[in-house]
Amino acid sequence: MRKKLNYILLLDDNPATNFIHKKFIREAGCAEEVIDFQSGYDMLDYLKSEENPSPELIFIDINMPIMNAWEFLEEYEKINEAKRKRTNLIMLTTSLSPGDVMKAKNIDMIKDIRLKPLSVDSVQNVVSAFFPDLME
Amino acid sequence: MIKNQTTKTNSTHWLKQVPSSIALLDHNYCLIDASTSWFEKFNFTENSKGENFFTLFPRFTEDWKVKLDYVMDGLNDIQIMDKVLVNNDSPKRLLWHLNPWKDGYGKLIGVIVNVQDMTEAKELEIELQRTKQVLDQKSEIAKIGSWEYDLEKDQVTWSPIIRKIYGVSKDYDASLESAMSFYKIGNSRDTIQEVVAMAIETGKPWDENLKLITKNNGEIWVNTIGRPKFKDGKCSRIIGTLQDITHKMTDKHFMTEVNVKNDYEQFFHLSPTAMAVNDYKTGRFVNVNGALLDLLGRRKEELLDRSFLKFLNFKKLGKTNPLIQLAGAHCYGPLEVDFVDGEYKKLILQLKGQVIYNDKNEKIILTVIQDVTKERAQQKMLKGKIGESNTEIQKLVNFAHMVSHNLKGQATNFSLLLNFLAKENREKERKSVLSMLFQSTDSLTDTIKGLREVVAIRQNINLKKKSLVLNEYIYKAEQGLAGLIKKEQVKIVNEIPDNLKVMALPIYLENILGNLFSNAIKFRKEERDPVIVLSVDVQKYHTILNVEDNGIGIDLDKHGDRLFGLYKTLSEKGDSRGMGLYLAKYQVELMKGKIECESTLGEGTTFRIYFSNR
Repeated sequence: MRKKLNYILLLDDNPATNFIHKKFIREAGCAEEVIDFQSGYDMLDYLKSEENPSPELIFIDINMPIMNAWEFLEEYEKINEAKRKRTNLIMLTTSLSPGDVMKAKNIDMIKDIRLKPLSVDSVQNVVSAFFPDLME
Repeated sequence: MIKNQTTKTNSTHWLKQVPSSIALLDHNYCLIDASTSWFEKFNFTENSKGENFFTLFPRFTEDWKVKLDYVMDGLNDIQIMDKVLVNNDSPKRLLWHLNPWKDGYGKLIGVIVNVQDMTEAKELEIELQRTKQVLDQKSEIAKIGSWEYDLEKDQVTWSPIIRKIYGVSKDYDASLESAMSFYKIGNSRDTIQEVVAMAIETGKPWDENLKLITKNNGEIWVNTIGRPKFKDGKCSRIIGTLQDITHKMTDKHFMTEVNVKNDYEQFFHLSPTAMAVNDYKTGRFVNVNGALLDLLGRRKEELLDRSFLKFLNFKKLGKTNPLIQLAGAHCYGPLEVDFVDGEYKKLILQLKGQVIYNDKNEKIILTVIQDVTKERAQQKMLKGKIGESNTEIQKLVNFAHMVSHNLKGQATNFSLLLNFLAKENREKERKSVLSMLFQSTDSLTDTIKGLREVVAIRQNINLKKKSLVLNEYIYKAEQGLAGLIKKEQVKIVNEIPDNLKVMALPIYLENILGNLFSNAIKFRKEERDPVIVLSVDVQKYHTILNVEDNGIGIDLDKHGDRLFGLYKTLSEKGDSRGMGLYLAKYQVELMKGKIECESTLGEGTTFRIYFSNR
């Protein structure tokens, strides 16, 4: 049995937020590798590349300047489905606005929408919810 | 003839005894008889009887004949003033009374002539008597008394009327203090003391209406006037008057009320409210008042007998049509109509009408017309203002939302990073947390700086625009960015004439140019040297500044709607705070201008700023 996920990706325009989330995920001890991005374009480049393995989990901040989460999803959809199917997308926001929650529910790719910043507990919650076999 | 006369003389024998001077003339104006005093007055004898009046008095002119004829036509008491020399004496003034003489059957048979003396002396006496009476009455009513105060002797002299006003006895001797002590305590007492002191010190006269308490505790109003007289540069005495004006003060408003008569026709014409009366059946104007004519700028003749229906647009009125309303009730309105007269008069009038009955019991419509043009214009303006402030509030709400969102995130990060730092012992980890804290601090400082600019704009909304030389502000902006321009080797091509001016607020203009230039440099394309081209396009209402760069460009289809939004940074290149274009747009709009953007991805961007020429 594997105890950890291989890859978790973070997308947030604020480097401090990424830094904090990275630390929490390490503390939760549920990923081998955490890679963070400040721009959707950079993350798309990473995901498109055949050399890079598909992550099991991606946390995406909804409010981003250059390319917001919804625009990112439009581009993300264009990536080869085989490459995407192992990946779970979780949206992050500072306030759960009803509009954003509705929008998220209507997009199948989105598994959940959570409040940021994450904590050790909330990271463990997400992992146990989507990867139950991992946490035994 | 003579016999006849004799009989008549006999019948008029009583005439002799009459103490006044009376004479009787027949229809030919011949003297029949007269009283003794009449004969004596004119030095005539009985022989004068039967003589023609004009023979007796040759000085009487044709005028007398006419007057006598009038009497013979039945006119009563014709009076004639006459000046005559009698017995070489001083001239006498006589007053003649001419009256018809009728017999027992009422038939006119002659003229009764009555003469009264009007000596000059008597006349004067009468005149004097009358004048004196009037004067006495007047001074009694006016109650004006005079007084004098001798400073050297410290002595007050009063006329009798003053004693009467004060209500003191005839032998009352006043001093300055006692005279002032009658004034009512409070404002009146303070005032009299003040004006007297001022008069003595500076020579300033006074004229005041004050309250006085008389000896028998009556409260009256007096008008006190004082004039100081100076001798050798010192006030030696004060003379003045005192008048009881209680009636004047209390009766003022009462009098005006009494003078108004219950004349409704007059009310209608003098009313400051515009009114019209129309016939119920035909709608014709029966009467219009001055206020209405002034309002419409028409003459009365232009309205009278024309139907008011001609002045109304029934299609536009629909159900508010006064005829429909009048059929149902006895009144109509309030109804608003536009009155357009040529090009210069355009009014919004509010009409209210009521059916009444005139003195012939006919139905008429009384309409009151009110000019509501100003009120409606104000309402419209206020509605506009409310709309404006609503968008302004919406903007503020969005703004507050953005700010709280952004700051909340940053604040949370701070506390989390500090927590890490507190727990962390490894030096390397501590260093990375610290460097993250520094980065966050810089970002927070930038955010707050931007917020302060936004707030400053909102505070400066009321400043006045000035005519500014555009190039001066362009040089200023270039200097502000000198470091960046040198580092990035930016070439600025300025095609703007040196004397060109725009209407703008100095701080805004500086800010806008700074933001546009730094954007153009920040979003430069890596492989080529940045070039900014500045040009203007002067139009009738606007002066347009074009800021063109050869940078990376913007995909307007994708980002166009967020280009000028708050915190919507398009790229994280440079240290954009996501506020530059938001601020620029906001400032341009506050100066009644607009900002436009044109761009081709990978080739460059042009911003166009429209400065209003007014």
